[in-house]
Amino acid sequence: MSPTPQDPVLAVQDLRVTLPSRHGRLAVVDGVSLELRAGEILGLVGESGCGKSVTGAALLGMAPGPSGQISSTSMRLGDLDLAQLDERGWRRVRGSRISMIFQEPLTALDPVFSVGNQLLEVIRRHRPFNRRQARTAAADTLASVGFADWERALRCYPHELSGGMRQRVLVAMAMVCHPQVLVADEPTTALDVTTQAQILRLIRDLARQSGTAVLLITHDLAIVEAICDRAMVMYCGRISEEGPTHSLMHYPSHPYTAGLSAAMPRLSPGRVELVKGIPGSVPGPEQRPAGCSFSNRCERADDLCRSQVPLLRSADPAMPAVAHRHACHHPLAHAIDSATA
Amino acid sequence: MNPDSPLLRIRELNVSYAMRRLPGSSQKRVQAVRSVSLDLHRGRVFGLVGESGCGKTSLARAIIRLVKPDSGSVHYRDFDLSQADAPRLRQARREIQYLFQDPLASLSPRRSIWQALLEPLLHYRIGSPAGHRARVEQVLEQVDLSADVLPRYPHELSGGQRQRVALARALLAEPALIIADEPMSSLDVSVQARMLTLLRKVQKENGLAFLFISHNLAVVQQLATEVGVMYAGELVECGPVDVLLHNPAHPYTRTLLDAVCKPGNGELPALEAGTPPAPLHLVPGCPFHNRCPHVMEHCKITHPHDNFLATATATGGKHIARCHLWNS
Repeated sequence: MSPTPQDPVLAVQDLRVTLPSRHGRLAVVDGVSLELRAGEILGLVGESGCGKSVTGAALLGMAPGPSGQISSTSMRLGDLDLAQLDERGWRRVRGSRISMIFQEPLTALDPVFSVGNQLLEVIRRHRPFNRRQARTAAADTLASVGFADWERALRCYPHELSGGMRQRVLVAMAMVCHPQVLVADEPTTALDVTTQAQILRLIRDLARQSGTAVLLITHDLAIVEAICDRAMVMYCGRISEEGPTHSLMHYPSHPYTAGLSAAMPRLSPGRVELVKGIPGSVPGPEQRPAGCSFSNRCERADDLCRSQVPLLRSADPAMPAVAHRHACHHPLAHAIDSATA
Repeated sequence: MNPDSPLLRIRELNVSYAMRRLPGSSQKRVQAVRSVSLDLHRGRVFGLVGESGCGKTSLARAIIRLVKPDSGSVHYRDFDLSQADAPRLRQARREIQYLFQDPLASLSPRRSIWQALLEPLLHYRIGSPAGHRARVEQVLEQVDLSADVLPRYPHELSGGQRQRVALARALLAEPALIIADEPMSSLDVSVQARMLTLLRKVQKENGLAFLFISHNLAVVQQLATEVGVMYAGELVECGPVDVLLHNPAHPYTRTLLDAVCKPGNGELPALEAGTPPAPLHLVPGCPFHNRCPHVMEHCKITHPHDNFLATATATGGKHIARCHLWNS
């Protein structure tokens, strides 16, 4: 059966990542399900410690530390069952079918090898190319990420490049084998605004051209709004709300999404909209409240919230097919208005 | 002293750093701040923006003489800090407090919060020892912290709490000016928003002047009354915040504004490629000319001077752009 454009490239059900603690195993990622389609950009938003980076790494079979454990009810990349892969199998997948871009390009690149060396290593590992073919592939990729003088770029060492250029090299290394899925973990956080815009544009254009599905991990809602088709908001290891970007940003139904949105300063010509913080702070993994993990910071919380974990469900009960879903016992009302409108 | 005169007056300030000298080569210097002039007024917030490496932090450090400027003057109240004797410099350093980016690095890990907060009171001999506890608790309350934090150590606090302790410590010295160097960038959005609200409250209540440094224009807009934009060590434009964001005069300011992902439009900013010039290989003429969409022949040769613009402003602040486009 050939895949249709509607079929997800990557489908993960009930992903859990656990770490040992004094009170037994602790779930830093607690039942995350996601689907990615070809050419789609999915944003994964949340504050530090919410488990978004751990989720991203788990999609490449990388657990946080030797004692971390990844489990899921199903994890499929096209026709490949990722859940069954051993470490050898993962090594064939990483960098060729699923690849990753990290936040800090200088630590992701090896300082003692040239850019060409590191880029060719990826190609040699995954493709049966000879020297000349590998070089051509490297050159093509470098050109596609904006290096006009790719000959020189191949000879450069990481310290000779600017932050933006280094991030372009990482994008090139991630894309050189035309992966089906790209996990980009805060790819622009270490960069200046002008460079950030260039790298975001590059990632989006490459995703559209090559059909690579992108999971973009970020703490910045403005980035989500600018380039993501859909987004998921994560809080304390769980998805609190997900939906098409427009619907999520304009009609957030989870109080946490609304709070994040109100806390983000937005550059607006004219009257300044003053930001509003969320009281309290993200609880550590051992201090999470029972029930809804946001209940200790939420104005709408009641006894139900403090005792029962809310499940992810459609924001509009009348239209369960609507992709906008939230995990909240007392969602904000306007989401339902908007879905029916 | 005239109450309208600026609290801090910086004129033609230059800062450079010596590069490590290789055998057989001549001494090279990196020009971090180039001929910057600006005024900070009592009770107002000046936002300083620019990309990394543009000289924002060097400028701030030169003000309190953590680095020694090559030339130029910094006047605080009515004396020149470069000529000031030790007691005057000490007084100026009490009144100009510095808030660093990383509060964990600026708090000693071996001292409790109480010890950290007591330090400015003892060092500057503020108040009587009997009143110290009450004074510390009063300032803690002002920054939304309870006295419970006092026996604790920095690593036991969250990032937001630490930054509030750092703010409390600055306030205990009874400053007139706080230099805040990217105080938000290590914080999460929801915590950052509370810190912004708090800084605004503290600034108003205490009538403080702020030099607020950030790479994030949206954060600066939340606090600042005036904004200065730095590029390659130069203050290329400065003026009241509404003017600068509405009617930027310098093409670089426009580039910077265009690069920010704005709410609502769901589109990526269009941008031509290019990066700031390396500080060691400064180009002649205007530092922005190799990226500027309005570049003219003489931009490549002549260095632009400060042009005062007659932009109508509600607050009546000065609007200055260092750009040939505005030569009269």
